[in-house]
Amino acid sequence: MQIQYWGVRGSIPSPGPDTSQFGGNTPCVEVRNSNEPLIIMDAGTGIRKLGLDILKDPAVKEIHILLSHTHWDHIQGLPFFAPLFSPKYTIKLYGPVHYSKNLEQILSQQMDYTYFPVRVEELAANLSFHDITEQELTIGSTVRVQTKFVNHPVVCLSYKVIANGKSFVYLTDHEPYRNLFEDGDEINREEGRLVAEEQTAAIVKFVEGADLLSMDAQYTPEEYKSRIGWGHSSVDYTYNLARDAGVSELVLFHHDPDRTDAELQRILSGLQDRSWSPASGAVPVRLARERLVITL
Amino acid sequence: MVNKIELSALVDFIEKMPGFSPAALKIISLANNPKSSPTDLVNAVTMDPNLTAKVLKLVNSAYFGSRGVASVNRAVMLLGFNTIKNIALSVAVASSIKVRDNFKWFSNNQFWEHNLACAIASRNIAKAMNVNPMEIEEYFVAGLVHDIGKGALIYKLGADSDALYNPDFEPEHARHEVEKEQLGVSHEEISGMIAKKWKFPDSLAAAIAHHHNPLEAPEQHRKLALAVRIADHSCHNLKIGIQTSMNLGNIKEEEWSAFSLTPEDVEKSLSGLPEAVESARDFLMDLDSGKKK
Repeated sequence: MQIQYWGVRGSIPSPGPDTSQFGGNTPCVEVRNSNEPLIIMDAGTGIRKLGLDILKDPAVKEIHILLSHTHWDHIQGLPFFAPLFSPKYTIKLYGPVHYSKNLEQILSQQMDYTYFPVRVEELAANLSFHDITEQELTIGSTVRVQTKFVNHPVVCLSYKVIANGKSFVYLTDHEPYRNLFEDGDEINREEGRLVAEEQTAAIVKFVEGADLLSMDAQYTPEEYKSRIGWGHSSVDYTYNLARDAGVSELVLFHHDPDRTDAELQRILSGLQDRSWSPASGAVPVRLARERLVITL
Repeated sequence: MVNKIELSALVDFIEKMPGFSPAALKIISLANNPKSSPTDLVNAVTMDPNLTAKVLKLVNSAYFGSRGVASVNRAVMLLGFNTIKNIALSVAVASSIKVRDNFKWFSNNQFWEHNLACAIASRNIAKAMNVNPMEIEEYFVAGLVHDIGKGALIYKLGADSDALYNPDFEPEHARHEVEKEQLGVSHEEISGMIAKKWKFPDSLAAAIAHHHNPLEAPEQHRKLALAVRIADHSCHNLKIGIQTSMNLGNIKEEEWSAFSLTPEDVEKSLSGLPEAVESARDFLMDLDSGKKK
C-alpha cells in the first residue's frame, strides 16, 4: 500500500512563505494498492494537483473518493478535480449519511451556478454517490475499508483501509469524547460519562494495531483548552492515542492554518524529546507534508 | 362500533401526525439560542413523545440502522450536539403546525402529561430495578413513547374514537382488548408496528408493543416492558394525565416477582412524580429562557 499526501492543512488553504515546506492545501490523501482502484481520502484543495497527476497515468480508470465529512476544507477541491471532466473515469464518491440531504445534493450545492460555472450534471465522468454510515466496504477485489463515526460538530467518518495484510487509518476532524451532560441530572451525567468512556475505547479499538495512523493534531495542548468543541485534537491526545492503540507509525495531520513550518518542526522535536522510550511503546512520528510518500 | 381500520394506512398516517405539546416551540427557541446546552435540548425533546419518537426515527434510520440508539442523550454523544439540534429543530418546525382540536374524551394536554409521567416513572422504576446506568434513559424513552400507537389511533379515528374512550363506558375487559375486538388491533400493537417501521432498537419496539403483557415480550426485553407496564399502571392509579378509565387490570403476582419488585419499591420510587411532572410543565412553558430553571 502506498500513501501520498497532497493536502495536509486544516480549515482553510494557507499558502505563503511560512507554510511552503509542509504545504498549504487542505486535506487530500492518495492511497494506492497494486492492481486495485485508486482511493482518495477527502477532496480538499490538494486534490487539484492529484487530479492532474492521475491524467498522466493510463492505468487509473476507477477512483473511489472517501470523504470524512463535507465541511468546506474537505470538499472545496472537488470542482477542480480534472478526472471529473473526462468520460474515461468511473468515480465513486462516499461520505457520511445526513438525515435530510444526500451526498449528491450536498456536493451539488457547492457547484450551484452562483458558486461555480460547471454543474454536477455536466460532469463527464461516470459518477456515483454513496451515503455511508459505520460499515465495511469492499473496493476492487481485495481492499476492505472499515468506517467509524468520530467526534466533530458534524457527522464525520474515520476510514481504515486494509489490503495485503497492511492497514492505514485516516482519522481527521476528531476531538476526544467528553461528557456533554455534566450539567444534567445524576442519571444523565452518569450516562454521558459512560458513553464518553465507551466511545473513547471504541476509537482506540478502531485504530488498534494500524501500520499507519494519519490523524488530526491541529492544536497544541494549550490551544486546545480554549477550542473544546471545535472538533479537533491536540498533539498530545493524538500521540497518546497512537501509543495506547499500538500503531506502528503516526503522521500528524490537519495542521492549523496559522502554524508555520518552524512551529511544526518545534512541535515534532518536542514530541521526540520527551522521555517516551521505545520500551514504553513510543511511536515513530512524522509531520504530514505535501508529496510525502509512505509505503507499507 | 368502530369500523376496523387498515393498518398500513394508519402507520402512514402517523408520519404526518402533528406534535402534541409546547415542546416543539421550546425546541425552536432553544435551537435559536447559541447559549443553549445539550442538556437544555434533551430536556425539551424528551418531554414530548411524538418529537422524541421522530428524532429517534431520523437518528436510527439515517445513522444506526439495526444497532439502534434508544436514548436522545446517547444520540447527542455519538452524533454531536449540532446534528441532533438540527434534527430536533426540523422535527419541531414540522410539528408546530396547529394541532387538531381535542376530541370529547381525548385531550392533547392530558395525553402528553400521561406519557411524560410514564417516562419519569419508568426511569425511577428502572433505578429501583438496579438497571445499568447506560440503559436507564431507554426506560425513560420507552415510557414516553409507549402510547404512540394510541395517539395515531385517536387521530385516525377522529370523533369515532370517543366511542372507544368514553369514560362512561366501563369495559369488562381491559381497554386494549376492547380495541382489539372493535378495531382488530390494539394500540400497543400499533405502537410496536410504528417502532419497527421507524427502526427503533428491538428492545424499545418490544417493550412498547408489550406494555400491557410484558411477560410475553422476548425474554431479554421483559424487564423494560415490565417497567413501562408498572409505570403506566401507577400513573393511572395516581390519575396523572388520565381522563378515561383504562381498566389496566392489576399487576399480576408473576409480574412483580419476575424481577423481584414489590409495590412498596415502586411506591417509594414514585413519591415525587406529580411534582416532577409539574416542573416539566413549567420548563416547557418558559419559552424565553434558554436554561432550565
